[in-house]
Amino acid sequence: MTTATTTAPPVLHLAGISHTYSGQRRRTTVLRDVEYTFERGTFYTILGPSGSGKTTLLSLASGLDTPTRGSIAFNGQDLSHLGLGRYRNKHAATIFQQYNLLTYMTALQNVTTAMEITGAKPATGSRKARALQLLGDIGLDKAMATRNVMQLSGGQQQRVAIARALACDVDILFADEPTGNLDEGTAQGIIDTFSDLAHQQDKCVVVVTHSQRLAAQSDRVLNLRKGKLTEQANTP
Amino acid sequence: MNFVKRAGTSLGARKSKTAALLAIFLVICTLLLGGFLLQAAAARQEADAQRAIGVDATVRKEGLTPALADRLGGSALVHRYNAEVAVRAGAQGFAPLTSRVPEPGGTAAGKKDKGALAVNGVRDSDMLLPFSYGSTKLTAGRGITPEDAGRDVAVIEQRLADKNRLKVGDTFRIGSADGKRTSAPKIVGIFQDPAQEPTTWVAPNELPGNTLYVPADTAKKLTSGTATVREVVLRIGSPDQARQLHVEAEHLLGKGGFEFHVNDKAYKDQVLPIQRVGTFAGLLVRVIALAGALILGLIVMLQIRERRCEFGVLLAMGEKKWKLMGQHLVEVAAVALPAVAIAALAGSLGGQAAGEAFLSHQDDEPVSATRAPDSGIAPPAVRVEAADVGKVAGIALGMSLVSTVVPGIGILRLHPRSILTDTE
Ligand SMILES: Nc1ncnc2c1ncn2[C@@H]1O[C@H](COP(=O)(O)OP(=O)(O)OP(=O)(O)O)[C@@H](O)[C@H]1O
Ligand SMILES: [Mg+2]
Repeated sequence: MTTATTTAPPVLHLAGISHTYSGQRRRTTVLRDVEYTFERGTFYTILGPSGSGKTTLLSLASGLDTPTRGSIAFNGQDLSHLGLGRYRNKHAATIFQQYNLLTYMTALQNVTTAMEITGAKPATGSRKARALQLLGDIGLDKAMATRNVMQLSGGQQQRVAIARALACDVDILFADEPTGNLDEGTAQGIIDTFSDLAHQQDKCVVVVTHSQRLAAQSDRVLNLRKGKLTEQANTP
Repeated sequence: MNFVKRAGTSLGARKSKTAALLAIFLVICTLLLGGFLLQAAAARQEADAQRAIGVDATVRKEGLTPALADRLGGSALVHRYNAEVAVRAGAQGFAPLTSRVPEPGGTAAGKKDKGALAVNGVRDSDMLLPFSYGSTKLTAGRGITPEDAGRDVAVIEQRLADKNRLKVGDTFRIGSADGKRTSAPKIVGIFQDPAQEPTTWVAPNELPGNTLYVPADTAKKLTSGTATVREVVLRIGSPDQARQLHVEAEHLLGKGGFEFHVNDKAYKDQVLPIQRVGTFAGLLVRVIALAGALILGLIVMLQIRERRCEFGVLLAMGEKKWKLMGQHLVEVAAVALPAVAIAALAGSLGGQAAGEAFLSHQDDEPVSATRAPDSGIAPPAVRVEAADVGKVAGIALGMSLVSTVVPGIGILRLHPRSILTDTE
């Protein structure tokens, strides 16, 4: 396992962000003054009890929402200057806890549509070929790939969501419990893919999980508890 | 243009919903087009009816000259007019009708006869009340028309023709009361006046059979002194124009000092019902457009609610907002345009029948009392015109645009996370 060097360039900086949900009756503060810097070439996992705000943190870091307080910078540029839409389009991709696939499309169309929207072009071959390859790599053959996503199992849908995010070729990949519905073998394959992405392609990979096994294979483990994000002592 | 491709995928994947939306659009478009066609047909028919029936304004004035009458008739408001110059003339070389009852006191032998014939100089004999009402009918030839001005022609009564064996094409001579001026008109028509000869003695010129019609110039020639016009009848399009015409008459004849009558009974009996159909059609179009917009708006709004998730996912990938709206608009338009096309097709096939059912009952109404039955209005022509189809297409697309963009904006101002998590 490659240890991240202290000189790794920062790619994403969370500067004192707090987030409060204001419902009709009461306000819930989920994040309190979170300060953290993510680096390239590093595979992070975030642990925390259910309801601790992991998904919230991910949605802020991936530009799906804006924090009530604090700011986020990508490559030193504030997200509000860069534009959230542009940030999501070119630099960050998210694998959602609920997959969020386009239900009227096949698995293949889901992946190619994402490539079209983000403008991701494979180095060689067509988008379709690249999409089929990505789907194949995580165990979805062509017959499954050309089926409407609603006719796939939960785990298969989850894998489509992963292939879609990988296809976008972005700088930071966020994943919310990406292995929750997968058997151990498949899950390990996904973890290896994430690891390769960070170490071979110099991406920043941030994965929310409940799995200690997954956390153990990451470079850095973060804990979210009571609105505070803390880094675990480096445990190999 | 990947959003157009996405719209295609979406439409293909939701075939039954697409079909339902198409059906609703089709119904709305057909009704809209029907309304427009009815409106257009009613407007056309109304214009025809105005021209055919119109409103007659009658102007009478002491000492009205034919020249003034022509100037009144020359108004832009007037479709056709008739001025009547009445003179008396004597028969030369033929026998006028005489009363069957002997003249009380015997015939005054030496009495200077001013002429047995009642000669009416007219411009357009069809406009004379007995002719236009149909009580007096032409039995042969034709009446006096504006084209006859300057020609020496005449239309005589059946009884006078029978007595002298005169027929269309024959020429006869008449002379002015003082015998100084004569005229030899050619008979172009023979009419029949149902009025019977009175049972008491009347002067020959008062016998219905001794009345004849000639162009105004011929009558003028036979008068000693200046010819005056008894009355001018001016046909205009609608009762509203009568007021304008009255103003013009005041300019020409001076304020007051002339009589002005408007006869709009025929117009009211025949044109107003058509106008009501037109007004109804206009109302129909507006109600349908409004109801259609509401229905479509609701449907599209429901659809957009369903599509919140899709919007959220696409936005999460950084898709531009206008492209999302574009995709949705393309999907709605892809349904609206074929609906307009099918409606236009259906309209051109079924419009005629529908239009006739709506408008033709006008012809069945009793009109005999008002004017000759043959002045009836032509059956309505229901034609699908490009302009009407264009209007329907415009409204349909407008409805799609409004019903797509308005609810869309509500969603798109949210962050993708809110769109994806809020489940209203
Ligand atoms: N849109 C929202 N409005 C109000 N409260 C919310 C909203 N979304 C999340 N919360 C609340 O914020 C807290 C954190 O939620 P979040 O989804 O981030 O938790 P999580 O750590 O991802 O949990 P899990 O492990 O179960 O996925 C929870 O208490 C949740 O009830
Ligand atoms: Mg969560």
